[in-house]
Amino acid sequence: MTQHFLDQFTQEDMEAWFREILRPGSEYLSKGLIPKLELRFDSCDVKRQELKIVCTAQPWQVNPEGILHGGITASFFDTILGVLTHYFAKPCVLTTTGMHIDYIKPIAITDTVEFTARIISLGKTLTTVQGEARLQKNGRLAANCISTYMRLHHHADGTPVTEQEGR
Amino acid sequence: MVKLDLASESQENMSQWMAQTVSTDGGLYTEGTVVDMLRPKFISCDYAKKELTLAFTAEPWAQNPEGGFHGGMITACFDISFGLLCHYFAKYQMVTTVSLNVSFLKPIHIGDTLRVQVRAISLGNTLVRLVAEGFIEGKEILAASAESTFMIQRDRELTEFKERVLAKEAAETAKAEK
Repeated sequence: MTQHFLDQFTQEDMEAWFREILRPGSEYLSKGLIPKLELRFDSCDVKRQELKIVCTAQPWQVNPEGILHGGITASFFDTILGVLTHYFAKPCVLTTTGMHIDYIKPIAITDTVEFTARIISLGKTLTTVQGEARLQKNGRLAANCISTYMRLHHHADGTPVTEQEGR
Repeated sequence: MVKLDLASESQENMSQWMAQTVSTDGGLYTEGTVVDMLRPKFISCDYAKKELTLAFTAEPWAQNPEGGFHGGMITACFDISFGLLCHYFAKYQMVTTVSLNVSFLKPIHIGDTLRVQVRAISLGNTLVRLVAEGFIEGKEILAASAESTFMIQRDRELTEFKERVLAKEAAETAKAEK
């Protein structure tokens, strides 16, 4: 990726885009799992290719041990790391090809968690993103994630993305 | 209630315990939580090989914006299957996921059934190493694979679950004696 590619993204545009897609009632939040996660936009940084989202663990998200289910932590990471990648890859559709999570501290119900996603490699086809989940109450690292996303060179409706659109 | 103790371990005991645990009144899963919502179905297990197979149907509530089964929920299916297999060998001790690595190989559509086959390849006193494959039922397509490490917390018990199971056992024994 050249510097020219990233120059077209501005801090204002990035903030506006995340505020719009995470607005209650937005199309992105209209169906499936993502609205149930109740993601709250905190901040983003276009130069660092970084996004911070805040979430609160809910009673339906517990495992039999009474703490946040590992699959829910994975859902938060997959959604937040994916949406950050999507900002830089749009209008292409993305798919997750791999995800590695280290579970470090338990997340209790009603804990508020700050998820930070940071792109560490932005390629034409594959993007690698690192994510951290920290407990808001004490700043402790609760989980760490590395995910890889593949850019499919078509729109959500299946029509191909042109070279100009795909940048 | 099926006994969960070291002395009772056998192929038959494992099959009965797995079938009971994933049933709605099995005692391990709380109604309305994510495990209950994903509705795992017991397919089979192999005590000697330390293997377990569960099935999950991709439902609309668990879809991603593209209309497929959300990657986080596919991961949850693996985590549930790994955790349940660990629990059989850990008994009433708490188990926690230490790390989980998932490869997403093919899309899973809403309505598809994901058959998750997990196997414990190393069962230590504290750490359990597991591998898994997820197939789309009927098409026999390998859609995802996973590896994981779980920790058995020898100093912490699943107190509530144990109490519920033991209370049910006592009630059943009292009923039989009458």
